[in-house]
Amino acid sequence: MIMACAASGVQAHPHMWIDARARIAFDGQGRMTAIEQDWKFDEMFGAYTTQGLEKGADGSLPEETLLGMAKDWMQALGEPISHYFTQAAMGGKPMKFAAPRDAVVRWNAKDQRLTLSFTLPFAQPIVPDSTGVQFDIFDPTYFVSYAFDAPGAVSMLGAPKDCRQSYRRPRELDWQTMQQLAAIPADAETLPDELLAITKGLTHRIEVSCA
Amino acid sequence: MRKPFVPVLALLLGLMPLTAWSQTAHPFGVPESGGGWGGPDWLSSVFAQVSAWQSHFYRQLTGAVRAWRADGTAAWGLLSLSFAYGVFHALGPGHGKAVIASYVLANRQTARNGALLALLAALLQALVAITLVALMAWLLNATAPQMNRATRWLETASYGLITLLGVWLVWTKAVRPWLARGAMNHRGHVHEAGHMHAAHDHAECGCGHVHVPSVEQVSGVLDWRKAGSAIFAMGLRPCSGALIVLVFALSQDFFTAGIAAALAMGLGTGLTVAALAVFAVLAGSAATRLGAYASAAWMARVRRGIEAVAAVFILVLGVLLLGGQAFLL
Repeated sequence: MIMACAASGVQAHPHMWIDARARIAFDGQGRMTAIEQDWKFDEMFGAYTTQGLEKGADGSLPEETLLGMAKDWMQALGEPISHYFTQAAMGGKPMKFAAPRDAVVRWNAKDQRLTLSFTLPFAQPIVPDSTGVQFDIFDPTYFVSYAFDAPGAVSMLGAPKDCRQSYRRPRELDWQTMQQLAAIPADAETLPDELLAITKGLTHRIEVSCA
Repeated sequence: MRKPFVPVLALLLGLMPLTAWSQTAHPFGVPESGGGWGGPDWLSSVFAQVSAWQSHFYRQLTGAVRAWRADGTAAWGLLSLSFAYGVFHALGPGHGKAVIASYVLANRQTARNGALLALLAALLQALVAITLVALMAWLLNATAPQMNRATRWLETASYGLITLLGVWLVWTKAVRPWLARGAMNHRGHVHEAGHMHAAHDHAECGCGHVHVPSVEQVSGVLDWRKAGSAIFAMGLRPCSGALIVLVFALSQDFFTAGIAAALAMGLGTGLTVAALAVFAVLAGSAATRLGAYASAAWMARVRRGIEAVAAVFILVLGVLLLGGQAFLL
């Protein structure tokens, strides 16, 4: 699957839409500890994914089903090539993440939408400098289209007063970049750096800097 | 005399998947198709635009299903969106078009038959999607992973058929004529225009001549036994967009809308591929006409060359697609 993701889907069109939210979490000492995300999937995906699953009278899904879903997704997303579709860097240097935690799936029977929430902690807490920490969220295969459009979709939790956040939506994907993406070798070890270089401006970029 | 092949070859290569593993497994398990296609820059740029449009129409399908359910007269919204989705789906990269174009070239089909093949294959594809969802989701209440698995099987069967079709075409269009020519040369038989009898079929002719029937005679009527294999090879694999819309319609207790949408998508795809098939036929005969400046014998050779190239292309495509399947299993 690693190779499958690397080599393909670059010209795939989004067939999944996610209304996303991201919270950058800090600890008591003002250090950045994690990024928490909620991904609310579109209703076609919701209908397809929940098809045939046993539901309650009110359309709800059993807890075990949702737990299983969260486990499966996090496992698939954990492949190095996907890496939860999330990268972070400070001063051009990629930041290491620890294993994700608190993965939860919720199902809203009324609007037929599934939401995956998870926390991606940094391997070590980070003290952001004035150049800031950059988060890039995107699916390199372009199968998933993210949107951070809701008011307050990007926020900070417990941030020191002098920290500022900004968000920049991706620019349009042009064919030249597509060619470059297509040429990425299917090598999971070296991929993240290369991807970061090529995909400059193609990601949902959240930047947090502290004076 | 090789020159006439160039446009045909370029056309086919443009439709060719660059990598065998182009069928993607995405972290979120939905049956996905396409991606990882090569081709000249201008083609990539066209594909990118086409993808954007396809996505645009796809996203609006849910709203259109709801609108129709709320207002019985609002069916046209969904139908036209689905049709448009189908058109743009067909304009993007995909092996179906490549197979149709090659089959038409290899068998020297008329434009009319090529168009008919394309349309039938696309409609079969829609019917397969409708049947799959009706049987599995509606009657058996299957889950998404089960449906993905069924889709995968159909996909493998489809690629298997393409490979078989390729093997058969390579045998009849490339290997056997070549063997026949060898036998002919051995006997010092000089092949000339006067020798080209019209109505012979290569298969029945054991005399060592290479006969070239005229276009009108070989392809006036569609050979259903042969054409059927091509239609199944392409139509067996349901389009993931159609599957998902069908399941969505089912979840809204409005399966009718899903069926209508799938058929409209099929029609859009079918008509578009039909137009491409007509183009392939025209390109093929243009190439032949170029060859015809030399002599009738040259023309026959150019024809055979095109047929052989198209046949080999189908075989290679089938093997690549099958290889991709094995890789993912």
